[in-house]
Amino acid sequence: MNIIATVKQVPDPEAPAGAFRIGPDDRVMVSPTVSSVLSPYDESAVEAALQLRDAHGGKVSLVCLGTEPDDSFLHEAMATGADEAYLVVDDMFQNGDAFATAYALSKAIAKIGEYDLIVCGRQASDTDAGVVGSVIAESLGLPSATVIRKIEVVGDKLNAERVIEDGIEVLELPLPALLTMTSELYTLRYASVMDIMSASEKPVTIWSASDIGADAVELDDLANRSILRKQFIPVSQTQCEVIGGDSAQEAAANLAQALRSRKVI
Amino acid sequence: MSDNSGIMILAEAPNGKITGLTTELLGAGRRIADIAGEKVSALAVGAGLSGVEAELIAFGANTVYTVDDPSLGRYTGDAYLSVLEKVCQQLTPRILLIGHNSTGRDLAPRLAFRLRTGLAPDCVDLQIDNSTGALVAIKPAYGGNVMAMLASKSQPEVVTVRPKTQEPLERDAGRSGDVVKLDLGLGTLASRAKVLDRIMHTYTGIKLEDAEVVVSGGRGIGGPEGFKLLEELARSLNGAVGASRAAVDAGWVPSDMQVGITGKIVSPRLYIAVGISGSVQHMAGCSRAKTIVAINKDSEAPIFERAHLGVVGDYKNVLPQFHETCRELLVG
Ligand SMILES: Cc1cc2nc3c(=O)[nH]c(=O)nc-3n(C[C@H](O)[C@H](O)[C@H](O)COP(=O)(O)OP(=O)(O)OC[C@H]3O[C@@H](n4cnc5c(N)ncnc54)[C@H](O)[C@@H]3O)c2cc1C
Ligand SMILES: Nc1ncnc2c1ncn2[C@@H]1O[C@H](COP(=O)(O)O)[C@@H](O)[C@H]1O
Repeated sequence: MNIIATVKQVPDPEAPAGAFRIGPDDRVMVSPTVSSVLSPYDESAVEAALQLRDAHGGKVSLVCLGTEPDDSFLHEAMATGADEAYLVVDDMFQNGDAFATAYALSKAIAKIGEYDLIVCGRQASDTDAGVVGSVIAESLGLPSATVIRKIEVVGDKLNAERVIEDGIEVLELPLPALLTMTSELYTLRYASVMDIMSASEKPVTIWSASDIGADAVELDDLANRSILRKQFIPVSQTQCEVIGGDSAQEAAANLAQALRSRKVI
Repeated sequence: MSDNSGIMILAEAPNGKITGLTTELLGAGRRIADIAGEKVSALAVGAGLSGVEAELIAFGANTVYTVDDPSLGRYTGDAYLSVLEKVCQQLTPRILLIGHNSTGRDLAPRLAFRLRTGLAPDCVDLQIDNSTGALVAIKPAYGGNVMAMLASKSQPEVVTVRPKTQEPLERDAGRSGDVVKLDLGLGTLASRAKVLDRIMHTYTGIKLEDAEVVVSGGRGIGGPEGFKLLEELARSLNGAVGASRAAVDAGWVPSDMQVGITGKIVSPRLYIAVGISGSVQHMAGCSRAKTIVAINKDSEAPIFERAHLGVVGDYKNVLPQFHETCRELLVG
């Protein structure tokens, strides 16, 4: 079973609010003290892919649309067990939105060719959009489902548990298919020092726009459907009143009294 | 705007009853329609929709379109996609509002792609540009640390709207509107992703999304036992228990209790966050609460920048007395 996982590097989502500002060119600037990490839901996608490969054979390939030809992130990402990786980098894709990103990734995936399943994160933790996966599926004409917490292969089909309001739905999809993954049941395994060392030997293929046959006109049409007018940092006006007391018990009682005097309880 | 066919919202009415999110979409649609001098229509897709039309009108729809088909009782991707694609082609709405829930997340990106238009996902605010009449949708990014203002060059402008961010109108049975049954001639509607089973949670108490009081616990609770204290407090306050993702990922509580950007969005009168640091991703789920209370042992925790009232201390020492005093005040 050949599985492709899309993976993206993002600024650590746990970074403090003060680490973000908007630069003069209206782009988001993240403080250089914030490290880059694999987007958390992509970790779940990778873990799901590894478990399926371990159970059914085949290989796991990672695909990333990057901003620089630096492939060290993909070598690191392969340490947990992926077999190979592809990095698409081209000026043509710079500043691309979700649709442009999905276009580039779908072209790369089509070029990789033989796959049974594509897994993506349910949303990247920088864009928080949850768009790219579904649009890759549409571009490739694949059946898809979003926010999946568990995958099982049954014969030439798969069963996927989709998280819905108040419960889950068990879906059956024919292969090949695309699923976007959530975190509850797939926590990415650790990589040992040995794994990290041997991952540097694993192959990363770097492709340009022309390598994957990207068409400038098509890309332009996709990338210009939405306009990003402006970005800003939200300001919180909340003033917290910290309730004290001679002991924790007294503070607790004072808190209840404060809620009463504000007519909250 | 020359090609102007108003604002359409996608209504959801599982079991024949419109959802709270649907009334929020109608409220938002009505508000921007009034600014732009346009009409609001509701598109109800489902099975057995009689009765739903009147409710949608009572909550602000000028026109209700229904696509009533036994195969559309619950959301399935390809079938709903075919319906929406066809409806948008026929009725050419200028703006299409869809709720950012499990249906909207699955449907909207594929629909926008097929309609050759753009998408503004998970928006928390909708504005009309005074000079051009264009819609500007505001979408949080980086968990909520950054806000992006999005507009669209093509129509319909598809927007998914975050739950609990928009005010519904008061229900008014005196409102009038038209009902149009659509026959799209789509034939049999099948989806490649077939639903084999639906396993729904059963609730004994008050549903988290509907609760007026929510008591949530995070990693600081330290284990499943600690959540019992929260449950007891929630019961006394007539509320429900929520959790942070850290508590869910630790396996202490089920995932349907998660509050936040990828969990439930709540807007209670009172939100009590216990042992929760106050990450943006968590606060995105409760920032609309009228009063937020933090109980945390670390006075530097970011939650104290986002709460209205707080106590610095170990919850094990604070909660029992807090509960006790609340009980006294409630009976007294
Ligand atoms: C894309 C994405 C989506 C996410 N979605 C969500 C989401 O929907 N919901 C969500 O909650 N998170 C979400 N997260 C995770 C989020 O970033 C945080 O990791 C998470 O909210 C932290 O949970 P916490 O506050 O319980 O844990 P921590 O950050 O570890 O905080 C624990 C707190 O407990 C306090 N504490 C410890 N012991 C005690 C004690 N005895 N008494 C009192 N206080 C104590 C500590 O001082 C600390 O402040 C998301 C992350 C990403 C990247
Ligand atoms: N530049 C990228 N490279 C690889 N995968 C991506 C990229 N952007 C988005 N994705 C994938 O698509 C998912 C959803 O992204 P988004 O629609 O931006 O929330 C992510 O979790 C990734 O799996």
